[in-house]
Amino acid sequence: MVLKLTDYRTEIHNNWCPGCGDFGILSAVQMALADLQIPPHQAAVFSGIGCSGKTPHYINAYGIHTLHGRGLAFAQGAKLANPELEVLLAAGDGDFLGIGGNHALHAGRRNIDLTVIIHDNFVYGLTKGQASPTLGLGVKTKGLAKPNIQQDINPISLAVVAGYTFVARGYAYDTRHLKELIKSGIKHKGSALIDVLQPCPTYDDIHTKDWYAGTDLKDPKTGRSMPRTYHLEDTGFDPVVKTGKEEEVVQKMTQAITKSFEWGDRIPIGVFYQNSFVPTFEERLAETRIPALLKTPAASMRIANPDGTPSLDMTPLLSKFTV
Amino acid sequence: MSADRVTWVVGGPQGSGVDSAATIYARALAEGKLQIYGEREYYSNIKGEHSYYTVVASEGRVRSRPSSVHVLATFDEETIVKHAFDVVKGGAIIYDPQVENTLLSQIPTLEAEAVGRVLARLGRKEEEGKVGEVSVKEVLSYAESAGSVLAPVPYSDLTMEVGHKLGVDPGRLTRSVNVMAVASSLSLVGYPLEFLEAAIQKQFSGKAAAANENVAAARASYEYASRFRPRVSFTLGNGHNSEQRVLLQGTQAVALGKIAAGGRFQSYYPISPATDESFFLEEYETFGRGNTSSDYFIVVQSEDEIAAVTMAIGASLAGVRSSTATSGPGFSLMMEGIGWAGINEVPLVITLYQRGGPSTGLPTRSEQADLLFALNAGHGDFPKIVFASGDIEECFYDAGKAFNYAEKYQMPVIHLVEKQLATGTVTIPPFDLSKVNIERGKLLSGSNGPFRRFKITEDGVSPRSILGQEGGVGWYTGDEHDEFGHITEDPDTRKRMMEKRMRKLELAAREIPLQDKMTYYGPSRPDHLIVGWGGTKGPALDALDILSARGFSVGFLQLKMMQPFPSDEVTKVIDSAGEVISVESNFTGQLAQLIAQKTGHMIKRQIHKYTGRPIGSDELVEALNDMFREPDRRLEVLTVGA
Ligand SMILES: Cc1ncc(C[n+]2csc(CCOP(=O)(O)OP(=O)(O)O)c2C)c(N)n1
Ligand code: SF4
Ligand SMILES: [Mg+2]
Repeated sequence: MVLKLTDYRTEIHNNWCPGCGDFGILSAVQMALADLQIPPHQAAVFSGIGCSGKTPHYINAYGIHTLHGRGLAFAQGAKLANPELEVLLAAGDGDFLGIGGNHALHAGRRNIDLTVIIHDNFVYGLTKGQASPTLGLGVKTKGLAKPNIQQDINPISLAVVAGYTFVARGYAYDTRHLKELIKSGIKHKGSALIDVLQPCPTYDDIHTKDWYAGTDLKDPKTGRSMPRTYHLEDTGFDPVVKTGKEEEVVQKMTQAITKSFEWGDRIPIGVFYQNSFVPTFEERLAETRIPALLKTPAASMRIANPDGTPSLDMTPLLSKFTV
Repeated sequence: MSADRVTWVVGGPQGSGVDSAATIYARALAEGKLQIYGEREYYSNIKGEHSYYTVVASEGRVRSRPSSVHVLATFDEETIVKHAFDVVKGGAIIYDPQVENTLLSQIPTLEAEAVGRVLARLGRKEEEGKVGEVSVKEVLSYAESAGSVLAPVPYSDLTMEVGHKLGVDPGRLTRSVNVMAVASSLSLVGYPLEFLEAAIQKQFSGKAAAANENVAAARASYEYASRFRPRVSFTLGNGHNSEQRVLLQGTQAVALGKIAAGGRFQSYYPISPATDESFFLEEYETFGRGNTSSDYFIVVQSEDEIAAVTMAIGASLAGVRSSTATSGPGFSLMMEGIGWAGINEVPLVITLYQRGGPSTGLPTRSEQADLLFALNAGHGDFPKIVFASGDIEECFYDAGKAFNYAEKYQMPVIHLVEKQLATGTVTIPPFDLSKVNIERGKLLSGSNGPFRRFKITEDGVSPRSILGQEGGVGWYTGDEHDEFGHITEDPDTRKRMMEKRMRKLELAAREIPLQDKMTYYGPSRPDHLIVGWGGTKGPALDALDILSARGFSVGFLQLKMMQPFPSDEVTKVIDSAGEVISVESNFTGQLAQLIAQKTGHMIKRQIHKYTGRPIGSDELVEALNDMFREPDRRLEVLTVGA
């Protein structure tokens, strides 16, 4: 049976503000799931807390709306317990890079096979517009009383340095492009991070849909708006590590970091870095310690006999303690 | 005189082999069919600070540590000055004669307060600047005059001698000093050397050279120390009960209990004294050599305890029996996750190894001060089960029961253990796996229509699906939610959901058998009722024997289940007794507060200990004895232990 886009929708009333970039991200995720024909029960969409955190409720798949900043930790636990699950995380920028920063950082060291989508709207939407960790120093959005006094984190370079093996940036209203990024992230074996620029029309009057569309930048020749976002792949930028050799890896990482600082009138979107040579945490465990891990998920391991007694023969283990 | 219990203390700087000496000593006694009870005391330090191990041996079961010591084996000066005064008349102190002339001021790790206590014992006033002039020898002479036998054993001469005999570098044999201390100790009480040799062979199986060297070192020191034997008043013979036993620590018992009960996922962040459990699980993740199944256990060292608890929840949602283990500071970080598991009805097991608080407190010492915290963990009202093990044997079975509670009632379960049990070593009967009964609770099978994960049911429990299960797609959220798991703020749904969740606690209260909630020991209408929990069980039961022998009518009520609390049953026991005295290792009498809250009964006489050292049997007997005789005494504070 072919799964249709509607199979990934729920009947829940969506209470995001009109014009919110989250709508674009939501449809891109649903389209990606449909394109990849992932049955709803095999996908688990996690989220943290924030406007972005509501995403799972709007997707017909296992939806786990967790705690502020902790979505990634929940997601990793689930993936290890059942590596056959397709695990996604809808993260807020404050959620992921602020309160959840520690998990964001350390997940890179593991490279568990999952896909993180950051709803990067420069603000804390659900708490009414405070500065998020991606808002630049000195910027004053309409929701702020004073210009932002803390510096911003660059999510792309952070992800590259932390060890994520697929790092990309998308734009909420370039839905088709975003869908492809999400599909690549899902197909990538390892931790994928996609930072999605998401306009929040309610609290952010700086990074607006018009601003991304460059309505303030006119082509002197044609007089038309010059969109700020452009596709990296159209420029010959090659993010993919081909040999896995250290020198090449460092070169690709450096290139991604450098590119990630391009901002202002020209904003690159697309894949910044991809390295498929790093084994996932699951593979590391399976290869060096637990051969059965990828054959039998822990979640489907039998633990009890029909009479309720343990099915594992404990004799060898207990004999170590016998005196 | 053949003592029915022999207490041995070995001490030295952390990292000097105290633990390995204690292990080999315990094994030698177990080889001789004796039962043992061991407690380990150490600083939050890796090398250098004073650590010691107490091992009590007996033909019968031992459950606690008396305060007096029969044989004291020392690896340094500090052990002598801190423990020599505890040695009984006719007991012995083993030491290296080289340390005799050390002055107290030359012992860098010795606290000023400890020096003060030594001076007081020696009857010396602390004159300014003169403290350092007291030598270890004076402490030893004092002990000798009080009846202890001094047994100087020149370890370095002996290693030279043995090295020469075996033709190996004596330097290699310095590693055998712990075995030499054990051999000397056993020699003093006349315990047969063959059992030590057997223990050494087992310990060093596969390493013939090391085994030979250690056996030779053991023989030489056993022989050397025998010269002191005639003056020692105690002997220790081997036991005769040939029943099989296991020798293990509390953290190992918990880990084995989790494995037996089908726990297959643990996430943790390192913290004393909880780490040993996770470390053990990781070491045996494929259940050790000899396991023929392809079963395994996933252990993840996370970035912090917030991740530890939330990873465990994620794994549980995917259908694995999962757990985390921690101590106070880590548990403090887990609050929000516990609440999420509560509102989302996720089976989750947390093993909470209590240590001395608050804050970093006494990281390597024991306390029972997290009871009320565990009960109140997390904001808002939600059901959770909180229960405590009383000894290491219980730890095994309880670790398994925790999973049953978690899955049957779909809620967080906090299993309380104390440092005292975690690092204690005991011989106990082998675990009876037929008593491990795995019950997984209500699970979704088949599918018809949209799945209501939080379906309102009579007993409050809704069948659950696991992530990945066909037909079970549903939602989870920390927000209040409807039956499908979608956010709602509807007052009526809120009310019904709150009531549904809380009903599960009533179900648990009905279903969990009384023997898993509390146990009463003693006569049916005791004059004096002692109430306690956790590691108080051992010393309380030993105290009960002694006090009953003295003619007192006394009983002990061990509380295990703190929530759901067996209020009616506790009331019944309390009402049957002449008077009640609670015994707890904390400052505020937390169990007594809980009893007051749940039964309305105020326990007016209490015994507390908050030095971070476990309650010993003698000090408890004396405190109870005093309280029985003086009805006006309200509070006794115990202090024994270096
Ligand atoms: C531990 C904790 N602290 C604070 C909050 C309050 N809170 C809710 S959403 C939010 C910020 C959300 O911002 P972001 O993660 O950027 O998500 P957005 O709403 O912008 O999608 C905060 C601080 C919370 N839910 N939990
Ligand atoms: S506040 Fe901003 S991010 Fe939140 S729903 Fe409204 S527009 Fe979207
Ligand atoms: Mg945000």
